[in-house]
Amino acid sequence: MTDRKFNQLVNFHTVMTDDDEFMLDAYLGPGSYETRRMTRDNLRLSRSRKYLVPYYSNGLTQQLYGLILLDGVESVARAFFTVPNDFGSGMTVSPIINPLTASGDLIYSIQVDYSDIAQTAAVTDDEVEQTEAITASQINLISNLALSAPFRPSLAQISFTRHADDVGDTIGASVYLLGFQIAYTADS
Amino acid sequence: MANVEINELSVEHTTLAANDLLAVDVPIGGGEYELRKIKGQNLKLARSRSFHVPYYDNDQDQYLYGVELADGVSRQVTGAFQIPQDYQGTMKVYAIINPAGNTGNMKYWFSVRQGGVGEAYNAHDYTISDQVEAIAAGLNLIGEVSLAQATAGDFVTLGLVRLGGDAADTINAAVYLLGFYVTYTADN
Repeated sequence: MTDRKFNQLVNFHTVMTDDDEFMLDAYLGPGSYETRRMTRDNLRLSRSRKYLVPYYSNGLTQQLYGLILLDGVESVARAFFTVPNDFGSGMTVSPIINPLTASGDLIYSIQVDYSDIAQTAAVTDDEVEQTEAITASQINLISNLALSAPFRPSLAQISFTRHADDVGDTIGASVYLLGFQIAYTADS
Repeated sequence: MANVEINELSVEHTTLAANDLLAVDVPIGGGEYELRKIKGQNLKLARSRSFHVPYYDNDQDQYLYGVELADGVSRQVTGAFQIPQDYQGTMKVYAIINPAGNTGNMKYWFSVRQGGVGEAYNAHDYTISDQVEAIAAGLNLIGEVSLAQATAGDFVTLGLVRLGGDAADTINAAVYLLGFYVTYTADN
């Protein structure tokens, strides 16, 4: 058997509809295959996916390089997202911080509340408050808050607070929020 | 060669990890098939994908038909997105302009900056400045910018400035930004 580029296969079958079935030989070991019939929707590829959820300014000022989280005061940004239909497992939420040339310790808290779209399930509340060192002149992805029980379809609300009025926040300057990264394992 | 029902397959193989192997029968003509072995996550389907990036309002007036870029003054609206994990190639970014029936030339500046975690937010800068583009009465995609160094997972910040007070801007009315439009080739 020879391995060939998949684009050769694509040339034969450019489209599959919902009801199409195809034959797939599962590789069981050296020289051992078993032919199985499946549909497109049952192909689970477990790819890693990430996407950015925009913030709602919540009255804060914005710049080209992000939402301003001022020094010396408490600033709260919010966002909403839905758990994607291809969600498989392992979802995390991470604020994306652009400090420009500033550095130091950031005191912050992040809270994610989620339930099913119709709000018939109990709301799950995941939250963390902590300190994180911020590196100057680069994008900082902070606090991978792992959601404890995400499911689809869920509507989630993010609340992110910079506690710059806390003496432990030593940056001494504004930092800028670009949004929130959602990362998860998809089923496709 | 027996067919295994799909529900049995779902139980036995609900996911394919990065290094799992599967095999596909590829028709090679004359009723013949050739067995090829591939990894699930190496399926490269080269589909065309597009998505919309919402604007951050930047305290501009918003309407059902978009955020206002007034005539006679300079107005900036921003946005941000993350390059998808299924990025394979040829990513382009546009601004979506609704002129509300007005026409003329629009002068603008379009900032498109890309950076990954640990990089400066503007590590890759594709900004185009002092552009003049004819605006038709309907929806317009303007400022086509190609992200030649796009990398899956990087963050892209966007900023569109209408230079409505410039003599080269001849629309003589407000136009409205609906957001930004991204196209690319995906690997699945």
